[in-house]
Amino acid sequence: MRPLPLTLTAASLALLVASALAAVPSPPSPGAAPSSTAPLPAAAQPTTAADLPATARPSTAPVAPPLAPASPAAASTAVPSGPFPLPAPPPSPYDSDSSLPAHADKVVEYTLNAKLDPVAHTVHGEGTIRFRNASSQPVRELWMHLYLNAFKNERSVFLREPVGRGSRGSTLPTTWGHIDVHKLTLREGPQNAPAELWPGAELHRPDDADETDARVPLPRDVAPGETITLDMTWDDKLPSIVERTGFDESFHLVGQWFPKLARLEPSGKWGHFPFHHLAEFYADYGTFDVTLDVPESYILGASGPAVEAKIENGRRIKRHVQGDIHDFAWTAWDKWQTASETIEGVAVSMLYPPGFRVVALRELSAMRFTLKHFNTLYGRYPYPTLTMAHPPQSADEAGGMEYPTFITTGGPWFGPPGVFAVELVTIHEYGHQYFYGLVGTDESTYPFLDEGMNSYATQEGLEALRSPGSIVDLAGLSVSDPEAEAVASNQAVHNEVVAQPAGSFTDGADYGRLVYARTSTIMETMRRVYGDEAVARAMGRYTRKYRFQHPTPDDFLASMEEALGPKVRETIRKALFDRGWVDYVVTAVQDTETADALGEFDVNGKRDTVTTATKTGGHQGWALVTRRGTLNIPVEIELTLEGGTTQRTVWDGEGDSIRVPYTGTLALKGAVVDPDDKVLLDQRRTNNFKSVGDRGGGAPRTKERLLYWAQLMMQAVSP
Amino acid sequence: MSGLGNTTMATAMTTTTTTTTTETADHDTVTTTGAIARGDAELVLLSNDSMRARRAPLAILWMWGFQSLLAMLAAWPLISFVSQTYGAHPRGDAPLWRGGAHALLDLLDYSAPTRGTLTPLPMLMFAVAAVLGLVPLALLLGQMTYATRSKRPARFVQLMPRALRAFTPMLVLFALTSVVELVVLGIGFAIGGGIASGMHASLGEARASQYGAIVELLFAAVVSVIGVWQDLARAAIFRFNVGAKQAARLAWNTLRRGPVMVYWSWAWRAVAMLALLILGSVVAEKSKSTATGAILPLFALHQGIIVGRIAFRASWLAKALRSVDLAHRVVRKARGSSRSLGGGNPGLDVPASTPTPPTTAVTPKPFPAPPLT
Repeated sequence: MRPLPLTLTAASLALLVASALAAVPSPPSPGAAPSSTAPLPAAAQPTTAADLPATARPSTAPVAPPLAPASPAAASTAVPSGPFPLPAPPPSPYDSDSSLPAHADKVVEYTLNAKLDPVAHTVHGEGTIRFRNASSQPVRELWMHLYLNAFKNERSVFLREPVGRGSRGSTLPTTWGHIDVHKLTLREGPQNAPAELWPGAELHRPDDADETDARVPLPRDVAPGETITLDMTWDDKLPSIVERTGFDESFHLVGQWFPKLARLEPSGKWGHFPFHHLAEFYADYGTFDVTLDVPESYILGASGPAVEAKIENGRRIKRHVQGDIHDFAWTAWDKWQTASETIEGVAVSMLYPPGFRVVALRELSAMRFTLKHFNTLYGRYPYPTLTMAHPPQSADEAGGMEYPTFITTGGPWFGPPGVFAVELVTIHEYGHQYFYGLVGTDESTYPFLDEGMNSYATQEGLEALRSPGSIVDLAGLSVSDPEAEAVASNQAVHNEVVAQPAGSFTDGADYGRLVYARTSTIMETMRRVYGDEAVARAMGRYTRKYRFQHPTPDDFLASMEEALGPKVRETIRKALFDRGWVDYVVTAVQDTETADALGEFDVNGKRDTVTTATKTGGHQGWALVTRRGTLNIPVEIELTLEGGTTQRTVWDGEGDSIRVPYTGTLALKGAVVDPDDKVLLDQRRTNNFKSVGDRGGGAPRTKERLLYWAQLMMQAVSP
Repeated sequence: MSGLGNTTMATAMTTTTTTTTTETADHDTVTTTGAIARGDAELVLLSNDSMRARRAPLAILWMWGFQSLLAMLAAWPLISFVSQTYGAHPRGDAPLWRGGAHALLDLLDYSAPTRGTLTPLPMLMFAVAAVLGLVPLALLLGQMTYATRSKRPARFVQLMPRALRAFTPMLVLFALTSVVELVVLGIGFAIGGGIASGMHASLGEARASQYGAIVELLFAAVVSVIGVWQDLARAAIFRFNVGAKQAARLAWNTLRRGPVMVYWSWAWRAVAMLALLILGSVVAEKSKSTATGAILPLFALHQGIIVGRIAFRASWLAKALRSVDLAHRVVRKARGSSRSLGGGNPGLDVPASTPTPPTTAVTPKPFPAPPLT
C-alpha cells in the first residue's frame, strides 16, 4: 500500500515550504560541496590529550586517527569521501539472476468466475480451489479470509481499530460491503464423497463479531502432500470505496473479493488473522484462472494476462490466467482510458480516467526507468504483464495499492509538476511486486518486511531517477524523499518498536513513521555509509534467494549479515527490534595558538627559565564528538580551518565519544559531524556542528531571503 | 445629483483645509504666468499630464522603507532562530540550502515546539501593513497629485495632513472592498466547485474541474476589477479631496467610461510586477554560491525588484489619478456643468524635464458636490 500517512505529510510539508519559499536557490550538489582549496597544514599531526591545556582537556575520550591525507589534492576535493569499507563477502549464487527459480511451489490453484452488476455493485462468484498441504503436518481445518466483511459493520476489527483520524481508511463507508459464502464443498470428503463444509464453518470467534477470518473444520485429515478440491459459490456486495476496494459511481476496484485460503506454514500452523486496519495480506503461491464477466461498455484491468476475451449477450467476458502469484484483483469502469507499452519485455497496460493523460504518461515514464532498475537490483520481473490503474480522484482511496501484476497509482490530473508524488506512488506500488509479491513475507506480522523494505526500494529508485529533489523540485526548493522520511522517522523512534505486527501499533501515524520511514531510513543510512554496491548486493541476494518464498525477519537479517557483516546486521537488528537510535553531537571545539613552553629547562648544563611564551606561528586544537543512543554507525568528522579549508576523518562510532586533534598553521574554526548527511538515523542535526567561540558562518543567505520574502508578503498584504 | 449635499461638502472641506496648502478650486482661476508667490510653502494640484510616478521617487523610497521596516520586524523571529542555530555552523547556513533539504526539514521539525512563538510578530506586522500601509500609499498619491508652487515635489510634512485626512475614507473603502472581494471569491469558488462536481459524471473530473477552475478564474478577474475600482477611488479621494462615497462614484464613472483601457493600464503593470518577481526567483535559484560576495549582488537585485514593483504600483496609481481627473472633466463638460470638485482645475503643468511657468496661488474654495448621479 502506498505510504500515505507519511509521504503525503512529507510532500505536503515540502509543498508548503515550496509555496512559501518561492525563490529558494538550489544548493550545490554534494560532489561540488563548497570546500577549501588550501593545502592541509604540513604539520597536521594528531595530538594527545596531554598536549592540551588542562582546562580544555576532555575527560577520557579516545583520540581519532590522523586526519585525511594532508595533500593538496585531498584538500581541494575534501568531500564527499567514499563509503566506510567492509570486508568483501564471499561470492554468492544469488548475486545474479541465474539463481532465480522459474516458478513458485504451487500450493493453491484458484479457478474462479465473477459476474459484476455495476448498478447494484455486486459480484456473483463461483469456482474451485485446489489446495495442497505443503506442510509437514496433517491439516484438520482450513482458515479462510473473508476480508470484504471488514466493511460489513462497525464491529469489524478493521473499522473498530483506533488508527487516528485522518488516517487512510478511517472514514466509514457510505454503503456497507460484505461477502456471503453460500457453499463450500470438499470434493474429497469421507469415503470420497463430497462434504459440505460451510454449515460447520465458524465465521467469528465467540467473543468477537469480526467476520473476516473464518475457521472451516474438515471432516477428515488432509495428509502432508495431499491435494483437496473445494467448490464454492459466494456473493459480494462491494462497499463504497474505503481502502483498497469498493466502488465510486461506475468505477469498481475489486480486491479481497473471494474466499481466500490463509497461508499454511511449513509447521502446519495457519498464518491467519483478521483484516486489521493497518495490515495487509499473506497467502500461498499458486495459479489464478479467473473469468470476469462485466457489461460490454466496461473496460477491465486485472492481474495476469487475458488469455480469452469475447463479447456475449452484451457482456464482456475475459479470462485471466497467471501462475506464481498469491492474490488476484481487478477493476472495471466504463470510463477507463487506456495506454500500453512494452517495457523490458513486459506488456504494461495503463488505465486512467478521462483528462488524466499527462499523469498517465508520467507514470509510464517512471515505469520505463523502474522496471529496468529493479530488474538489475532485485532480479528480473518474471510476469508477462503489469497493469497500472490510476483511479479517479473521487475514488482516491482506491489508489496506491498493490496486487500481483496489478497496481493502482493516484494523484490529481494536473500532476502537479515539480512534485513527484505520482512517480513515488508508481515506483512504490511497483516495488511491491518484489516486496510482498515475489518475496512473499507475512504483511500482517512483519509489515516492515514489505512496506519498510519497499519504501527503501522506492526512495533508492527515486534517488536514482532524480536527485536531489526526488520528491519536490519546485521554485528552487529540492526535497529528497530519504531526507523527508528520515526526519519523519526520527520523530517516532522512541514511541514503538518497528518490528511488530501491524495490528499492534497504537497509532496510524507511528505505523507510517516507523514501518515505512524508519525501515527505509535504516537501509538508506546503510547505503550511504557502506556504499551503493554493498547494500545493493545485500538486498539483491535477499530478494533473489527468497523469490517465491516466505522469509522471516531472521532470514532478512541473515542475508544482511552474509553480505554486510555481523556489525551491520546488529545495527539493523537494534534499529528494527530495540528502538535503536543515535545522535551525534559536536560537544566542544577548541583552538589555541602554539607557543614555546613556559618553565625551567636544562640546556647544556644550564637551567634557563622561560617566562614569556613566544608564539611559534601554529595552531593546535581539537573537536570533541559525542555519540548518544544505542547504535554505532561509522561517521565522518570534518574540521573547518581558517579560510574554509577542511579536513576529514572517520569515526567508527564505537565508544561514547572521540576527540579529533588538530595541529597546523591555520586556525581551527569549527567542526561538523556527518557533513554529508550520510547517517540519516542521526536524531538531530542542529547539534552536529560547533564553531570556536560559537563564531560560525552566520546565516547571510537565510537573512537575505527571509527579508526578501517578508517584503514580498508585505507588498501582497499592503493596500 | 449627488446624495451628498453641497452644504455638507462645503463644511467638510472648510474644516479640513490646512494652512500650508492652497487648493486651486477651478481651472479658470489658475494663473499660469507671473512670479512664484509663496514658493515651496504652498501646494498646488498638478495638471493631468504631470501626475506621474517619476515625480514621486521619494515617496516610492519611503514606501520601500516602510515595507522593509515591517518586513524586517516580521522576519526577525525566524532570522533570529536560524542565526541562533545554524549561525554557529562553520559553513554558516549553507547546509540549509543544500539539495535534499535534510537540514532544512530537520530544522523545521526542531522548531516545532517553538513555532508558536515565531509566528505572532509576523502576523502582527502583516496586519499593521494592511492597515497602516494606507498612510505611505496616501503620501505616494499625494506626491503624485501635488507639487509646490515652485514645482518642487511636495514634502511629506506638507502632505501628511492630507494623508491623515484621506486615511479614514481609504480605510472605509479598503474594508468594504475586502469584504466584497472575499464574498465574490467565495461565490466564485462555490460556483466553480459546484460546476466541477456537477459536471463530474458527464465530463469526467479532469474536464469538470478545468471548467470549474475557469469559472473561479473569472471570479478572480472580477475581484481584480474591484481592486482596480478601489484604486481609482483612492485616486479620487486625493485628486478631489472627497469622502469615500463620492470617491466610489467617481471611480465607478471612470471605470464605466473606459473599462478596457483602465483595466489594461492596471493589468500590464501587474504583469510587469509578476515578471519582476519571477526574475528575482530565477536569479536566486541560479545563484548557487553561499559566499557573502555572491549574496550581496543578489540582495541588491532583490531590493531593486522590491523598489521596481513599488514603482510599477506608483505608475498605475498615477494613471488612476489621471483617469479619474480626466473622467470627471469629461463628465462635467458633457453635462455643461460649471460645478467642479475641489481639484477640478487642469493644475500645475510640470514636465519632467523642462521648466514650467510659475503659477500663483489661488484662494481656497469650498467644494461643490460632484455633478454625478
